[in-house]
Formats: sequence, structure tokens, C-alpha cells
Amino acid sequence: MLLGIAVPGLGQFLAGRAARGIAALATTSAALALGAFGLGQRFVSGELTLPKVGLPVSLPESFGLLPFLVVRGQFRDGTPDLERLERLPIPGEHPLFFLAALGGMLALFWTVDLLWLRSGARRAAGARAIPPLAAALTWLLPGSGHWLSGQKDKALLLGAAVIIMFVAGLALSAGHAVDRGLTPIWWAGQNLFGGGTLVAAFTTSPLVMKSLPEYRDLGIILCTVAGLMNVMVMTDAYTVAEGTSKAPDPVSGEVAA
Amino acid sequence: MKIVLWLAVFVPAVFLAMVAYVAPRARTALGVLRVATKVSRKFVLWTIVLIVGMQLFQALLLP
Repeated sequence: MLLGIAVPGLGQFLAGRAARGIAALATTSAALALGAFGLGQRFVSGELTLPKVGLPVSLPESFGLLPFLVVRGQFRDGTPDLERLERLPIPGEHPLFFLAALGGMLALFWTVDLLWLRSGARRAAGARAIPPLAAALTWLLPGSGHWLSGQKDKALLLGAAVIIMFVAGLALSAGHAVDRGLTPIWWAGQNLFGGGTLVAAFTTSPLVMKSLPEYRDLGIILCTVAGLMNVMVMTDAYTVAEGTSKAPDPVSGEVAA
Repeated sequence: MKIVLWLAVFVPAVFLAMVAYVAPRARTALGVLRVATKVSRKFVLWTIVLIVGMQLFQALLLP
């Protein structure tokens, strides 16, 4: 798993799935690089530094560690001018922040794919969904993984629960709960519901805050809780899909544990 | 925050969070709703007990 996070695709490559490995590295790096170079110096904003090691950490971009370090190496910091550029919002930055974060999330999902491959699972003839795909789709639209696996009523309920929580957060904060530039740590949690942050990036995040909304803090928390709820939904979507997509062993007839 | 707003936000938020939390325990939406209602009721009751307890503690023991 650590290998998958350190170098996206390497695990698949070592497991003899070269095409999958190349796809993992290419998609992770492309999303991260497009977002980062589109943002310029602003990409560095909201970054933490690991004490003692001095390693820059940005969530979730750092999940694809090697592409992140390569891209991050292109940016310098430390001078007042660069610090000013880091803090200065740029037009259209929200979709670019999402794109950079997509790189990190893709690295995570490719790692989940690696775990699934290593568990010895094969796709059954009548399987409805591949578990890593079910989890990734749930990240974008909660409930979609369950829908693919055939649990349609549960899909609607879980999707509605996450979306209602996210929308309630946005409504309470007058649309100012989701902002990578202003609240990067909270945004990392909110981005666990990728579809929500993607829609917010184009609709509410660019709104100008004329005055501080009374319940903005509450809104930020609710949107973050929606993201955390989606982790549970993604995990369940993976498990449900796993139950429907594990093919029996051709020799023993047993399903891999 | 006013108690009405607290109830209007906290109780539904707990219920929605519990729907996601108990999702692995049931195969159908009805099953999830049943378990989530039970767990949320317990969670809200314990929250009320804790808040009342803290208020009592403050009123009785703190100057």
C-alpha cells in the first residue's frame, strides 16, 4: 500500500499489470501537474511542513508522493515576493485546486486498485462493479457505487444523506464553507466528497464574501462531516462491490477471502 | 446558539451521519433507516444527558 502511495502505478507494474501501472502514473501525474502549473505559486498555499524532516505536505495532493515531490520541486519559496504570490487569489483558482487534489485522490484509488489486485480477486462474469471503481465513483457521486452493485434503494438513501449534509453546510454558510484557499485543512476533509467540492468550485467558491456569514463555522463543519460520511459510504460501496465481483477460483470453486 | 437552532441542526445532522455510519450493517434502505434511527436516538439522548449533567455540575459546584 505504501508503495502504491509513494509511486502510483509501481505496484501494478510489479504485479505484471504494466498497462494499468502506466495508466495510474499518467493520470495521477497529469491531474496534479495541470492543477499545479495552472495555479503557479498559489499551489504552495495551505501547505504544511513535516517537522524535523522538512518535507512539504499538502492534502490530498501528497498521496501521489513521487509526482507531488517532482511538481513541488518546481516551486521555490522563502522570499517575500513569492509569499505574496502564494497568498494572492488568482481568477479561476478553485477548479485548478480541485484538479491538483484529483491527482492525490487518483493515487489513493489506484492504491485501492492495487490492494484489490493483490487480494487475488478476479472479475466474475456476472459482476456488476469493480470495487475500486465503485469506491471512486462514490467519491464523485455518493451512492453510485451501491447503484452499480444493484443496491439501488440504499444508493439513493446514502447519496441523499451525504448530499443533504453538504448542501446544508453550504446553505448555512451562505456558500462560503468550501474554499481551498481560505480553509485548506477543512477543505481536505470536504474533498472526501469530490463531487461536492467540484460543484462548489464552479458555483459557490468563487462568490465574493462581503460580510462574514453568522454560521460560516457551522457550515464548514457540516461540509467536512459530509466528506467524512462519504468515506463510510465509499468503504461500504467497495465491500458491497467486492461481494458481487469476486469470481470463484477456477480450481477450488471458492471465493478469495 | 439558540436551543431551537441547535435542535434543528444537531438532530438531523446526527441522523444523517448515522445513516452513513450504519450503512454496512444493512442491505436495504429500510434496514439502514431502522438501525440509524435506533443509534441516533441513543446518541442524542446521551448528548442531552451529558449537557444537562455539565449544566448541573456548573450550577452546583462552580462559583
